[in-house]
Amino acid sequence: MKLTASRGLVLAVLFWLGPVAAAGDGPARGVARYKTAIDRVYPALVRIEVVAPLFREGREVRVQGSGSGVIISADGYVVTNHHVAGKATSIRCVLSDKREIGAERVGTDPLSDICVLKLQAKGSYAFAKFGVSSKLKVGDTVLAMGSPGSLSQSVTAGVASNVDLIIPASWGRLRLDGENIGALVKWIAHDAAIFPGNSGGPLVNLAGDVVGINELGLGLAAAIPSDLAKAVVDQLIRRGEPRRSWLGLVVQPLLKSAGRQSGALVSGVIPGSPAEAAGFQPGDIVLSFGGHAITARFAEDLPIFNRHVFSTPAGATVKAVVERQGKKKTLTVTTRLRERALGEAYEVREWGMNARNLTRMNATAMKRATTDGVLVANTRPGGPCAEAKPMVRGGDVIVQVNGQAVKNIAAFLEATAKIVKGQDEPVRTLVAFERKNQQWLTLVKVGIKDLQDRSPEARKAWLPASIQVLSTDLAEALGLAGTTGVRLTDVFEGRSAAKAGLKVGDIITAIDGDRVRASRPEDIDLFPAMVRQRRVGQTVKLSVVRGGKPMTVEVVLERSPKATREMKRYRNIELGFTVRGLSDEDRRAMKVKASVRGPLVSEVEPGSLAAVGNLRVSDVILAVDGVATPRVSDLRAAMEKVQARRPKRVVVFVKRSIYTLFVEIETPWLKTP
Amino acid sequence: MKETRVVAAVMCSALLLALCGCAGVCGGPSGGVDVDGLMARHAPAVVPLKIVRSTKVSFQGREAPAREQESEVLGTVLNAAGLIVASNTAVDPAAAQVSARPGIKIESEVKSAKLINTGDGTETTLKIVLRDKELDLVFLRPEKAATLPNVGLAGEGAALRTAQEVVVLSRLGAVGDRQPSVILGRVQAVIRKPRTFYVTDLLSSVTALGCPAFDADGRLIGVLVIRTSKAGSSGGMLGGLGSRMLPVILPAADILEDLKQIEENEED
Repeated sequence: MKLTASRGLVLAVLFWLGPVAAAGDGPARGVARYKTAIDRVYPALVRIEVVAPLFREGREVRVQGSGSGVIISADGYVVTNHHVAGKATSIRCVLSDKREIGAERVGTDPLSDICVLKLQAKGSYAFAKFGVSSKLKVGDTVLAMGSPGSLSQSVTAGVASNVDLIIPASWGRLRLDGENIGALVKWIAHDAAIFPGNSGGPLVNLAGDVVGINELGLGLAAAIPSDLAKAVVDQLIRRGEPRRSWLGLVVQPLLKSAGRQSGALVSGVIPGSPAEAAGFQPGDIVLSFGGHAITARFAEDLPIFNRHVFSTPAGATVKAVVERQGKKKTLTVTTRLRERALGEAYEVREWGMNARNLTRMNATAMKRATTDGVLVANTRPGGPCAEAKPMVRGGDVIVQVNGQAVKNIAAFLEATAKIVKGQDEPVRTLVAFERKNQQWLTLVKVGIKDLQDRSPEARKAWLPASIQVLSTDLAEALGLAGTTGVRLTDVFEGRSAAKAGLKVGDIITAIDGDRVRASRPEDIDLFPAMVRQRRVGQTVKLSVVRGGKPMTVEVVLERSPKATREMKRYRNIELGFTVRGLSDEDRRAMKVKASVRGPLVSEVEPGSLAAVGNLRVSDVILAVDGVATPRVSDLRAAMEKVQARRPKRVVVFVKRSIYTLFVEIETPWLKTP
Repeated sequence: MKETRVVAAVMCSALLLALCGCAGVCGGPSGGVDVDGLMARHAPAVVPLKIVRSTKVSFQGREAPAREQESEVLGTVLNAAGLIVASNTAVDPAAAQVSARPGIKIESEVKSAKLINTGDGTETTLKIVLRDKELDLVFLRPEKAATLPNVGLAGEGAALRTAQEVVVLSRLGAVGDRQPSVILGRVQAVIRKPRTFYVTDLLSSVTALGCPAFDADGRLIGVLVIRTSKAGSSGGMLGGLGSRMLPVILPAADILEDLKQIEENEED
């Protein structure tokens, strides 16, 4: 599936407007053929840039991506794929005239992979019209328009290769948020080149009508037919979601051995479903449904049957005619509203997991009588659920917390808030959960442990200089074959080593007569360890080779500065970054002047808001929302004020290498289930 | 670790009993050492500590999930303020990493440390206040102020010569009801450079890491630790600690140096 391309995935793409031209066709004639279509649709193309959440390994991780879309109305409705913008928390559309306009999601449908957006700026927009996809024939010229590789709008051309494409059974089912998209869609396959980023863009005929929405790359490209797309778009605009019927009836193509030409074979009936209540049985041949004659001789026919069922108004009572053991029978079935396959995911940090409400489909598949409980989607390695014994893992259903039933995520979050309220440390919590129809009990330490400042290290004797090992090869090259020791790479200005006269390039071979037996890179800590064994303030005699000549240098060993690992730390969980105080070692390594005061970013969680906002490891944070933050405690205080104010964005002023810049981070504030 | 220490202690005890034909080696006063008096005064200062640590191993960049392990080690209460010293190697073996092969990285973190009160089995939560990897020391203090029986570390401690007698106060593990025990030995060698360390013939000195050592007059010499060298091969011919690790007695003067740093840190 051609999903949204990540921003970092820039493809070198060559676009061309002409297909393989017939002999004698020149480039001018090729371009002229497409002019109408391009003139009509190109102005309506949008590049869609999104930030969307991914729920994996117990964390909500944000990813940036881009896809394509097409404006279908003058007031700014945009059609794209669900997998482009269906879950995005931030959507921006770049029009063909380069304007950037924010958009909001109107509705989305994973089953058809169609999503509708609305441009947020009022205006009158160029728009494209849907054509009739059922009139498209194999061999017709089609144009794929969109923004591959997150580049600006582009056009490629090809022919419709197959107007009835299905996914072969041998490939398995194509799932999107739990939905089998092959159940509804028969794609238009074509050979106009598409690439990551083309998803959601229009497939256009030479008349300039949108005949499909590009979705997949399966060797050939595959587009959702416009007839289906338009029907879904209409529902999404009117209601915000599709309303489909559900029967609980599973059908398959007729058996070849049966020799039948009409009907569809019932392979299964879901217990508790409308189909079961109506009396359908495996083996029945469905001849008609709601007045539509049914034939499913091949896999390509199944989406048609499914469409008849889905398009029946939910709750309607319809008649179906089946043949059972050679006799026709009329069954009356009242359909039910088809619910989503998967509930929305929520990250529950205190538990180290992502969780969902159970849908009726989940419950039915799990053979559960109710949807009560919280479905664990996945857990964070090393997090509270993963560390529990026995562990709680993906697929488990939590049903009780400390003896109280939890029916859904809202109740679960409420229980969690009570558990962690006022607690500094994670709290042992009794949890009952279901796993494969068994009832389990475990204890989970619920809560987020604040960063502990690490225990201080004893500050030992120290030579204020940097070293490298004098390797055997290096010693030989310097004419010191057989000599072991370390070479000074830096002598810290103003400190005892510099005052004693040590210089860069000096080779230290012994301390107080003890040979420095370093000759391999892994011996790098040998000399510092020899120094640390001595006392602070002790004067030592270093045997030094300088310019090939041996000499002795007496130097006073200083006390080591505070180690980097001991610096104060602060972690901001909502935005996903950690800082620590700048140590001497940091300042030397990064050449940061003493006048630069601020905590150093030591970690930025991948996919976090800080990462999306482009805060980077090694940034020195100088100010937050204009307030200087010279120390870690100042940054903590500033972020606590941000937490209290809950602005849409926070601006962090950082020093990055030789530059300073303003980093704007969107702020999360929890969504409620 | 707990089980290893107990088994080793039992084996050493058996070995010592077998040697009991040698006068002055086991039990009662030996060559003038008032063992009973020493135990009465200072045995309560030798305390069992329960340590929970989390260890993560990575091999060539691939991490295995962190594992938590619990062990029991011994420490010595140094002063009336309840400051306890233990061997850093015993508390956090990963810190030594002498057996680590190239490409293997071991990270460990002490998640909790508790003092086991031998009288009633209750536990007192401790906090690590300083580590000194070079001297193989870790200093802990009760989170809530407490006055504990201690060895009264004040001065520089007794100095020793080769062949002098040494008495180490220790404790058995849980299987021995954590009873005080004593180990008698002699100084085999005195290392002078870069600092003074005493090497003894105590067979069970590894199990008594963190325990105090006294001279024949009952004066505190120092504490048993592991001296580690970065150079040399990692394993001896018969396995064991090899040429990089050596149990030694660290003189009290060196422990005092670190005590001063703790006081300075607390003043900051």
